[in-house]
Amino acid sequence: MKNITLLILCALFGICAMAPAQSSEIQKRIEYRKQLNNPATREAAIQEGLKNEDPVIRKKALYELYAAKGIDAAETLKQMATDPDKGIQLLIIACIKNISDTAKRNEVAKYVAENAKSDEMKRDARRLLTSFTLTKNNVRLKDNPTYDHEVTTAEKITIPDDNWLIIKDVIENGHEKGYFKKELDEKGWQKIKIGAWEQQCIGTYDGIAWYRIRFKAPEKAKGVVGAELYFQGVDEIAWIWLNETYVGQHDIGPSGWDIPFFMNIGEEIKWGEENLLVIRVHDSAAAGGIWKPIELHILK
Amino acid sequence: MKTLRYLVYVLTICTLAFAVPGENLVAEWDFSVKTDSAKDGSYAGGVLRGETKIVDGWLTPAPGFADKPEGYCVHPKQIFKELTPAGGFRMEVVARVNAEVTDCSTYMMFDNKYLLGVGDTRKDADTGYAFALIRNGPNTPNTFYMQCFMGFQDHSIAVRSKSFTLVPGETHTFTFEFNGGGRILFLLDGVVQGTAFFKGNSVAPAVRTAIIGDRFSSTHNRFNGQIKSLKLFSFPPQTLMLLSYGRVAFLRTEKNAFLEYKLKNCGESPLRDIVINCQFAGDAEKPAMDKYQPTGKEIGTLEPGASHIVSIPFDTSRMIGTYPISVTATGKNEKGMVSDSIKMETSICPLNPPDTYPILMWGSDKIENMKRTGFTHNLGGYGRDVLYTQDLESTITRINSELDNYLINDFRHADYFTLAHDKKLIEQFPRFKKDGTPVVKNIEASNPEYQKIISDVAAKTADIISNHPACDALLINSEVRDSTMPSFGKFEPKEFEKFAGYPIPKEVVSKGGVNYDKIPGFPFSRIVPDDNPILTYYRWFWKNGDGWNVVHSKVSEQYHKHIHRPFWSFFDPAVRVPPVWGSGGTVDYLSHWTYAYPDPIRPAATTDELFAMAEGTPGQKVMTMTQIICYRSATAPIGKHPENEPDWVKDSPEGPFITIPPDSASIALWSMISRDVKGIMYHGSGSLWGKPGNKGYVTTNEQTKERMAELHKSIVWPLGPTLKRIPERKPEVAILHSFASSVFAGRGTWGWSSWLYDAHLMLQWANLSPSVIYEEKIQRDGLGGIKVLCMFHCDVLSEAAYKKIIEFQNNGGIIIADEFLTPAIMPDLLITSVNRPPQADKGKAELQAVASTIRSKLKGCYEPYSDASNQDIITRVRTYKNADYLFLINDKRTFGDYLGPWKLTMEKGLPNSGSVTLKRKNVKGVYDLVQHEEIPFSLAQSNLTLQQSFAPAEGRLLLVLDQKIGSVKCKVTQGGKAPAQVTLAIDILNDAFFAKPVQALIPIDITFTSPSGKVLDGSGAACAVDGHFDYTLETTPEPGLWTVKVTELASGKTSTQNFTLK
Repeated sequence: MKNITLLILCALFGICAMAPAQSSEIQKRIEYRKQLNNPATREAAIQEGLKNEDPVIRKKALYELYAAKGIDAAETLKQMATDPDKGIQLLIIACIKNISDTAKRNEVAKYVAENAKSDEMKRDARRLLTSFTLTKNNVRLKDNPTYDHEVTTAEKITIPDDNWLIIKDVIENGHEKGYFKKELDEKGWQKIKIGAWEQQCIGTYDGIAWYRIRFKAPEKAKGVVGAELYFQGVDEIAWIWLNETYVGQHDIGPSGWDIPFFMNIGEEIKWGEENLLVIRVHDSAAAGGIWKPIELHILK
Repeated sequence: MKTLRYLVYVLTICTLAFAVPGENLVAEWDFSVKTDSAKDGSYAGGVLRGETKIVDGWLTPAPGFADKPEGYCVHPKQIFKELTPAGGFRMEVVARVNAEVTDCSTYMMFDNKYLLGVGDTRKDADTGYAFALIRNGPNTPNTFYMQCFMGFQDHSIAVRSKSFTLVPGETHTFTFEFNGGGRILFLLDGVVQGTAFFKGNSVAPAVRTAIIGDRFSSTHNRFNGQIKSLKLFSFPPQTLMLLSYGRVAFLRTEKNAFLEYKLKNCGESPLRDIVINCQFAGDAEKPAMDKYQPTGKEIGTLEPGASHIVSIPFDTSRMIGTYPISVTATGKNEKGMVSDSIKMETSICPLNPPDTYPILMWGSDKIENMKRTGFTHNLGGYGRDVLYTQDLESTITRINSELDNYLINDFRHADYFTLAHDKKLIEQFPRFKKDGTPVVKNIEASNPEYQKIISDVAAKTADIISNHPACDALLINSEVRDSTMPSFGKFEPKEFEKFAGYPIPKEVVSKGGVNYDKIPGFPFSRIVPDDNPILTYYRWFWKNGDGWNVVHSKVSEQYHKHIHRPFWSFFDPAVRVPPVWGSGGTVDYLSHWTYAYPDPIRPAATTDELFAMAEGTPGQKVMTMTQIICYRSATAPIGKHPENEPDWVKDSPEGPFITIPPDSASIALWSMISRDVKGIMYHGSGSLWGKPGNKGYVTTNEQTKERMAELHKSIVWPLGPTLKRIPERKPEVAILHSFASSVFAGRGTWGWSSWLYDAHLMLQWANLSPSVIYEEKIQRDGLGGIKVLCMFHCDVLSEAAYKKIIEFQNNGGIIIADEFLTPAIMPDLLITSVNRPPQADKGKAELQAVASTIRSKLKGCYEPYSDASNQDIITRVRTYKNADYLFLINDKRTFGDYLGPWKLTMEKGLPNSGSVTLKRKNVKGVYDLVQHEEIPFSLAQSNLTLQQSFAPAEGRLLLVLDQKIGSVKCKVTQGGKAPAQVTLAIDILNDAFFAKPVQALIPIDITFTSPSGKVLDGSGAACAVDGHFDYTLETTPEPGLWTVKVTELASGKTSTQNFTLK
């Protein structure tokens, strides 16, 4: 009997010795999950979790709260709009999107758009207030993983900088009016050149404006495999259509104002014909608009 | 027929042996008789073109090469119909080649055809004929072959002799003889250099004047040498025709070997009493042939136009070598006796070693180059020929001849069956996009009519190669999934509706899925029901819907149905699809190619993904591939000129695809073979054996092929049979590749690159030996023995997978995730994804820093089975019973002087050292399988510890055993008389008093040496499973004392046995 006891003790000791000492961060999360999984401690865990120093736990608490209460968690969403953690910010936006009551959704979105600390969160919340939801992942041919060939720029053609038309879109419904369409009454559109709109016909204005230009593309030469537009500077955000087809956006928030970007237009370009390029531009502060030339790059 | 005598006719037929009854000299040009030309270039009725002169009696085109007319035009205006004889004819050219090599490898001797391509649809392309000498590539100077081009009014053929060596300046007679019925014989100085068979009776009369020593017009191919004379003989059409039909090369000791000949009655009355005779040259000295030699095999009667195929058994018991054979068929008609005969070479070829591990060149080059670098196979296809041929018999003959050549050269071939990119079929079976436009480069493979065509061609092709051991592998439709797209054509929409009960969801447009952000009402948890219609559609599309997996299964099945010998099929690149089971259908192996930059351990990431893919098809295994080429843009961008730009840029300033660095090739190899892959492959022969330049694949590093040769021959050849048997160790760390996230968030590697692959490298450097797992596996089997699940790019999950993952976590499993993880799961460890900077050292450092963080945070929760004291020693273990196979890769690198100046890849390996640990106690012996020696080790705190030093880019494979290897035992059982069957029973024993076979997979080498000191083919590497290997081999007919030496390649112990054959 004594021996058996000894064996049991040894075995227990062995198990204890083998049991890994959990690292504090992982251990805390495991413990928190246990509290959440226990109906007796779940409610308190959620409430305490919202204030936890660990963002992973805060996020989980917010997720569980919204999953359980839905619209009733709106105030918490607002309160947490200033949370510095990006994961939590994205979760808040996802929760707001999920609110089915439009008025309530807009109310929370407006609050977050005005009070969030990060620009990205403000932008995301603002987008929830508009019906403009177009996004497209525009992949350059050279970055297209399914295109297994070397791509080189054979020719660069600058889009004329003085034939542009522009119109303000204060209530952000130009897309509903078909501003990107070929058949459009261009009455009310003004001529503008490349350069900040503040110094031209638009004057001081922060918000959305639309640009249109028609240009002729060259005939497709032998060996040409595609084309792209090279935007050297659009202040701040740009959404681009070519020949009525939405091509993609340059949207990294206000900081994108001086960052050049490319748009693959291999599918949309009409070789040897007139093409219609339309750009929706959003500017949130100071100068705005297409302020640097745009080039058509012919790819081989 | 009137003889065209332009010069003094001298009858000097040296090779009377080949004279045909009733032959007639049609024309002769002897340039030694008339030595001067007129000032206007006219000469003996014709014209000397360009700078061509008669020098000392030799027609001498201008030296060097320019695309300008040279040679001798036999008449400036007249086309002599006699120069295209109606039946059989023979051309003899006496010539010599120059020592100087030009850019033009075609040395045209005679041409009145001009359009030499097969399948040329231009007017008059199928008239006349041409005869040329072709120089092989720069790596084999002074080797040539003869080539003949003939037009038969509705088609043309191009056939060639075998290769031979010429000494510049030495005079030779080059001859081809066309029998007027589908057979050409090539002779060099009267010696047979090959026989070709094809469809075609009478050459269509030439419509162009004849040129000697150049092509008729541009592009010109002047004869780079001198021509002394040219003679043309004609002879009447044959009544009885004999054609070789099948193989003429066989493996030594191959069973059921036979030659096949086709006899055809080309006359207008029946042929009776047909008899065929085979005569082997020098049979007096080769009595062993007697017992097999068929003398006077009687065929019987052949009606006019009828043909008969006769099989003649072939003795394969003699020595490896070539055996000239003369075959004669005789018969009778009302006019008397008729006959035909052919002379050709048969070959007995070496056997493979006891076991092999495929090293496939995905593409091709000269066989000797491939062999020198250690390759076992190349790739090339027959399916298209079989589909489009109008003359299946000549296609069969050509395929057999090509495969014979592989066997003769002791090399093997993989058939590339590709009818996925065929333009005609794409037009016939278009795949339509949602907007109604056709998808470029992809077929609606779900169309049953297309599937039937493919299946039939596969069956026919398989039947052709079924008997030929030179072809033992098959690749099907490479890269076809890259261009697939949901089809809104005839079949797929209907098929989906039949499958799901509802039409294709309206959101579906492209193969890339639908972003969840754009789907109204998408669950904010991002957990979707398994029957979500969009998920259901894409799952169906990628598994069966687009038809390709079904097609690949059918092709593979047809080959296996018709080929009853070891034969394997594979599909690549198999993971250019989202992470869902089924890619490649039921092929035997999945494979995929990977670029070895910026980090050469990348092939491991792809290979592990292949394992996850193959998991869904029972019995399917994995091979893998590294690209020899490097994209210039990713390694040394064109136009960027860093400091210390290397010299190779001068030779290839705009070469777009350059050579993999040697150290990268070494690390990539170890990265591949550290996995349970059943073979390895490489692509990009032009960057290995090509030249520098500015087009396509260019060779920019000459050291790479040498390094690859060394690695293949010293590691893969001896260890291959063992490598392919060592099972994967059950993984403890897995990266989830989420299909739902591919569909709804555009994630997945698609076989290229992504954070998922970088994360895999990061975990390799963390020594966590990552594996890859798919949602389907989790749904089917749960997480099994996984202890750490890495959920990167897992934005969305299917509900069933989510539940299993929560269960795993609740049971103590650790989840490591990035910021994209669905909010429904709380990770145990959150890391931020690494958006890798282009500069290679910074990228590696960032990933290694995260690797360090992970290891440090996991401390106390999880420790891997194998570990190293520094991150640049990557460990990986595979396990068989109690034997651990510990792979070590030295991945310590810096910027070298080849690609380093651009800073995009660290291609230069550095020495490294450190300690390696294994969490096991029971260790009695540790063996270095590369060096074949036992190495010291220590055991401390339940860990095996090994101090290791590495050369740059070195890999190592250590065998850890719970017993020591004691000895090698080899028991020989023999027949009495050479050639004899010899059977070996080999045991690798432990060092116990009552020694027993070591329960492990032990690499061994078996070498048979003949009494004359030659190593017998069939010697080589094998694997002793559980310490045992049985092997039976037939010797050659060489009596005397034979030796067999068996070496186990773990500790290097040997056993040598002798046996005597009478």
